[in-house]
Amino acid sequence: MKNIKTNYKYGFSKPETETFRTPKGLDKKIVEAISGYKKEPEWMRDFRFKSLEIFKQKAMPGWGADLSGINFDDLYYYINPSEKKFRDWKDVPTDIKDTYEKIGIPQAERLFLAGVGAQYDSEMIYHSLKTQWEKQGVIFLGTDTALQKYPEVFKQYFGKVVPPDDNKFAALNSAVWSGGSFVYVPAGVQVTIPLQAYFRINAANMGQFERTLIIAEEGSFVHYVEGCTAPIYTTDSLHSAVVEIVVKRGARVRYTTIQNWSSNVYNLVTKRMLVEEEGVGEWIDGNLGSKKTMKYPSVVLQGKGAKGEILSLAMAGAGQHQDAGGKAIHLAPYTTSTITSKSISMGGGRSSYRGLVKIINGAKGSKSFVRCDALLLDDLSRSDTYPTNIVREQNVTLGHEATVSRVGEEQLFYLMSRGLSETQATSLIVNGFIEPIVKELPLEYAVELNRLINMSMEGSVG
Amino acid sequence: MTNSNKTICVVWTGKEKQIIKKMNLSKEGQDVQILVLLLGKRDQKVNVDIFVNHAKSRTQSRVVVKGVLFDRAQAEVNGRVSIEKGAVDSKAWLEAKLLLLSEKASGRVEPNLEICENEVVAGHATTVGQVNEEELFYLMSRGLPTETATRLLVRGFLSSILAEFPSSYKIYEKLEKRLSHI
Repeated sequence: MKNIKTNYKYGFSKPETETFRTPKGLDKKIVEAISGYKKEPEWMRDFRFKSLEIFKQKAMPGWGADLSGINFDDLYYYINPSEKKFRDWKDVPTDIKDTYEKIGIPQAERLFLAGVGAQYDSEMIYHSLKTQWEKQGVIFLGTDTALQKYPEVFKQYFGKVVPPDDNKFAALNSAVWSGGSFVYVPAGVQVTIPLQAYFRINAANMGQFERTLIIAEEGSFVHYVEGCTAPIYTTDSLHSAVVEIVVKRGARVRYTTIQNWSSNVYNLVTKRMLVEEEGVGEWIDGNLGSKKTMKYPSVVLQGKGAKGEILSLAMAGAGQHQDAGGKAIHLAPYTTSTITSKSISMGGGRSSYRGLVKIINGAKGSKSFVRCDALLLDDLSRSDTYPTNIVREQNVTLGHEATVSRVGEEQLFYLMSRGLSETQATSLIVNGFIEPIVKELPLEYAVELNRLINMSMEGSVG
Repeated sequence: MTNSNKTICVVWTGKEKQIIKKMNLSKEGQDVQILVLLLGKRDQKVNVDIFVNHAKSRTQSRVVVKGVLFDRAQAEVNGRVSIEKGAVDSKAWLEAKLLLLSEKASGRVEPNLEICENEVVAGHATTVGQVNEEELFYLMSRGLPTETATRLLVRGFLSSILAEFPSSYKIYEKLEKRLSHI
């Protein structure tokens, strides 16, 4: 760790309490304070500074969801609730445990998880990793810890898949990132149980900028699961994460997200996978909550025969705009991608599918298929489809299909004639509509999702 | 209530740089069909922009774009079909299919839908690709040379839209002239 600058002077005095929190707003001093507080190496501090400049220069996106409600000066960019890193469940503070109890984590922990990285505000506070994987060389850590413990691997991949100048929010994240997960799977290792992390925003005005980096070496497999639930606050919050994934030759990575932020959160996330030869990259992306979401998980297929799959699910209720979709960039021959999107709009919500499929010249024999289905539950809601398909190569197959429909009256009538109430019947139809995506989710997520849908149907029908 | 039906036909053989068609369905029960056939060769490029807005109930639109691109020809197709709130029982279909017959030909397709009403049926479909290899192989295994087999497959690809064009467009002649190019 000799490259870590030790003579750094804090831009802020450390508060008397255990909590370190930067003041509201964003400038170089804040970024310096975050970096200094974390005792980061110089290259990372410079990276943050450079990213901050890019963030200032970049314009807000002129498309997608309306983001005019974000006031960057009115947000906290870093809060650390606890200085301690917990290795053991019994050491986790009770109030945090209670919150997770409600979300259902403890059972999931016992039954399905191998290691848990639960993010409370900006820090990973709890971590456990099964010893068998530690023996196999799998690394599953908070991103901050990984930077300290594995600086070389970290530097090699960090910011390479999603560079700071990719977009304004990637630049913001690069400048103030904190927390997130770091996963490294050595060649040939199959991680059979999904790795899970729960993220939460729970201080008012708190912006969360977690950064996740996953590296799957040749022939390995890992499934990473991320879910969000947030309590309700009175003021707007911003969640702007970056997820970078490298899928090496013949490896497979699946990344599952169920996002259920409270309805005042702006959720603006950049997610991308680089997939090498014969590798498989899969995104399963469910967007249920938030005020506005802009999220388009991408697969960059850069090796021959690489495969990408994106399943996107969006539910927009009152006051919500889900602008979600996926991108597949074919850069090598015989690459294949499929994008399946299912969206539901109700109660005045708006859901948009926005997608890109690009096949460059030379990516011969590539195939891509995009299917997006939208369900409009009432006449207050809105559904859009904005697909872009670019083909610069002759020897390819690209298909795209979309349908927009409502709940069929005949289906509804049939179910109601069998004794179901209108709410029950609608829930059943909606659950059937999203089934192709739900069946890919881990069991507890599928159950949770079904419950959520049934809950949101109550009062929305009739 | 009277139904007003309208069919707009466009054949592009390389002359125009841009084709723009805008339709606002502002009368109840109004119907529109927009058929676009693109035959591009050499360095010909075209931007096709089609906008259809459903403002009233029981309106119907059907947009079909089919293109065959030779040499280094390029086509960009942007379609936008919107259904306004209140335009109940409307139907919209947007289709764009491009066939690339050379390594340097390229296409970009953006079929956008904006739906603000739930009592409607709307859909779109796009494909971009080359002639089906298996079909080509089958025809060639029956003794047809590559060129003839390709011509047959191109005719097959376009047949549905060709049949819809009024005879005054002399569409078959234009197509055959272009196919002799293979």
